[in-house]
Amino acid sequence: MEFHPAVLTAAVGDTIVWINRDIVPHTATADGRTKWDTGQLTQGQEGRYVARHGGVARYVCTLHPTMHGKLVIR
Amino acid sequence: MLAIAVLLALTSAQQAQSPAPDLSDPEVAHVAVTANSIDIDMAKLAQTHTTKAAVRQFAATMITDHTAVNSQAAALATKLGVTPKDNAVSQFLQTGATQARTSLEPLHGAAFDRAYMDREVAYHQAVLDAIDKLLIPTTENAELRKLLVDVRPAIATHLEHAKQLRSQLGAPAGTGK
Repeated sequence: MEFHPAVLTAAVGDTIVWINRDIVPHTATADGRTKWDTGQLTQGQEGRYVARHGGVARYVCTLHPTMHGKLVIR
Repeated sequence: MLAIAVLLALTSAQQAQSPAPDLSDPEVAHVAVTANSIDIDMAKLAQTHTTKAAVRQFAATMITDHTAVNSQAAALATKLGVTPKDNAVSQFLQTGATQARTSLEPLHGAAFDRAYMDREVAYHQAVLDAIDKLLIPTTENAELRKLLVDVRPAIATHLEHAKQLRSQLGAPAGTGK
């Protein structure tokens, strides 16, 4: 199980949307100083985050800590 | 470890008799539901026996994920009009689970955590092997086979999670606290 794409580049002001295409629930949860969290998304559910600052934001699935993703906000 | 030995022994014994293992689809469905239910029960035991947040979180994920998979399996079985049928593989899994529970129940704290995570590593490896070598090859219905294929990544991720967590717990189970 993994985030697709593992690294996503976006612009400040963009809305990033995660869609759970898996059977089991997942989260996308910030792993850095800026805190954000989609909460648990079950199959087919969407979570959103609006990128307000530039920089690199790493995130994980709190249910599956082996899943990692990265946002590059320009 | 017993679950692995038993499952692999069974797989190779069946392969020795005939090229393809011959579980029926209702039997495959029963194995899938049994395998999920066993790990849910083990996770519930862990939640009352561990004092470590990471182990409690792992157990919570096992309950969430295996419950989600069983819901899908139940929905598919209903849709296909399949009634899961008990069989030798389900019984082997159940026997292994009963033995594991007996050895885990008296343990607490760090000793429990190590033994539980050892079991979870071995169990998910055994289930992965069963999915690849026994269940997917023997399943006739395309939708049931697709469910097994779709579930596989979750089991592989659980295995990695379990290995990672186990490696943080130190000394082998049974060598003291």
